[in-house]
Amino acid sequence: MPCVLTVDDSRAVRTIVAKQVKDLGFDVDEAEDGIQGLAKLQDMQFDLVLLDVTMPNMDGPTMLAKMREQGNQTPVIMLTSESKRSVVGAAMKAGINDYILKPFKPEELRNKILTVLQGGGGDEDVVAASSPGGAPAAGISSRQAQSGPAEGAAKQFIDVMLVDDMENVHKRMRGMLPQHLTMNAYTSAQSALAAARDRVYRVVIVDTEIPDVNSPVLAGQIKVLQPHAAFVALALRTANDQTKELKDQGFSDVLYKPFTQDTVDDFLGQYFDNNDFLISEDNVLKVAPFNGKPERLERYVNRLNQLFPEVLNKVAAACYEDIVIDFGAGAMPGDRLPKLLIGVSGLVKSMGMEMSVVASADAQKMLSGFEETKAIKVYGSLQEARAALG
Amino acid sequence: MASLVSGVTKTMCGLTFEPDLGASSKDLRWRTAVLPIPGPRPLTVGLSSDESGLATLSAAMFAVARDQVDSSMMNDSLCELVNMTAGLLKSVMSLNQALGLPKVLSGPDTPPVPSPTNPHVLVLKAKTAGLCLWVYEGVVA
Repeated sequence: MPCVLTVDDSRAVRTIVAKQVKDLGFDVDEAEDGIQGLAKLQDMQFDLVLLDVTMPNMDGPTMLAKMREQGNQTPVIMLTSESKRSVVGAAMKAGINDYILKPFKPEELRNKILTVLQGGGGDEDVVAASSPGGAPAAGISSRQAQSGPAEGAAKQFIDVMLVDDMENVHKRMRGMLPQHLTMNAYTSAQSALAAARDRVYRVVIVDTEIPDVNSPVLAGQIKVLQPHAAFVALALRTANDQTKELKDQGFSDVLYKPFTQDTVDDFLGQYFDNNDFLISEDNVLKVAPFNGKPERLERYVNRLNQLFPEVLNKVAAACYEDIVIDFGAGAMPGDRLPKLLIGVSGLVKSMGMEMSVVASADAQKMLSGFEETKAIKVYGSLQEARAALG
Repeated sequence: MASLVSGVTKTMCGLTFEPDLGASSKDLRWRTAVLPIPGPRPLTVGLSSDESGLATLSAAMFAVARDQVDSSMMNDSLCELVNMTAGLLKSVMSLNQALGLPKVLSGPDTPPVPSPTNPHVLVLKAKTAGLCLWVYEGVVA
């Protein structure tokens, strides 16, 4: 059962938090300040820390910094009355997963806890956190479950696990995944479970028709070992839509056979696009260049349009006032770039931020030719943009 | 000001406060929590209440019966309420100053709560509890 540590000098807040955590079915322990909190973290492994900012003896930011110095990557949600930008911004940089402003509603607290414990954390959290996920599924002892992906040393990180008894399916899937995504494929439940104990997976795809294997049960067993992974059912398309039934069985999504490059691309879009298309580093968003066939340009632009709001929200939540969007030297044919930036600049403005763009000379020329984009600050390199922002 | 406090109490313990313009703050000085906001524009935010009001607030915050509330729970509740209220106040005033730690004052240590005629003092009333919110320039020693 996941265990949450609440660190707050207020007994009232600890009591409120403890009640919400217990209502979710999780264990909870309490500490009154950062010193006690660090001591508790030395004694046992927690799945999440709910950390107050202002406390006597040792405050939240100091405790967070010491945790990270000691290599403790337990996810942290900060609870604070401080809406001060520097406090929240510094905490975001120091590696908190989320923050909650006091006063908070119980449902807000519960939602944020669930988001982090059920996989909302970043990749680093997946590697270093302990192994939440509830009671072990049939066939796995609690000891095995405890020796999941996050115990102690970092495990090898693999993007996709595919479990299907047909090797041809493995080959087809491998051929459709981009080269930079790693994949392990297994034909048996045993080999998949063994791999799940040793490695960390981002997405687990389980065929629903493996002979002598109950796929939902197998997925449940792997889930105990891979609590942060997304679970996708690989099913044969039939006259009846099985999506609801498979989701009821614990899968978050369904990929139908025979899958095509388009369906695989769509599937990848849900789980990997952020890493491929739009990478955020503090307040710099790096847009991957378009390298595909011309007929796929529309999909590429649509993906960016879908991704920008969420990524911009994260930057705004970290209290940055300026944002730099780096298109590098990549070209975007036609008027795609100005059209994309008209929408993005509106979003950026609505979030109270200022936007600069890094783009090639050709792109700069293109942007200056449109009334709506000619006022955008465009620089030839990220260094220039940073220097201009001071 | 009233909506700030009420926002905190409604969210944390389901109690809504309204300004009680005719009331005196005298009866609400049984216990006070103060929170300094030091900085270029130093401020002190205080919340005071009487024993009965604090028992009501604390019982609601801790989700226990009134007769289970002890003195430390009252202190704790008052401190947390002043902490959250000060956080909101600071945000409303756009103050870029860090919150200090709340401190409970009672008995002879309690600084005199300014008169209710003072524009920086507000007496608030819920159905079952009274509170006095006060803010003044400077930091309580």
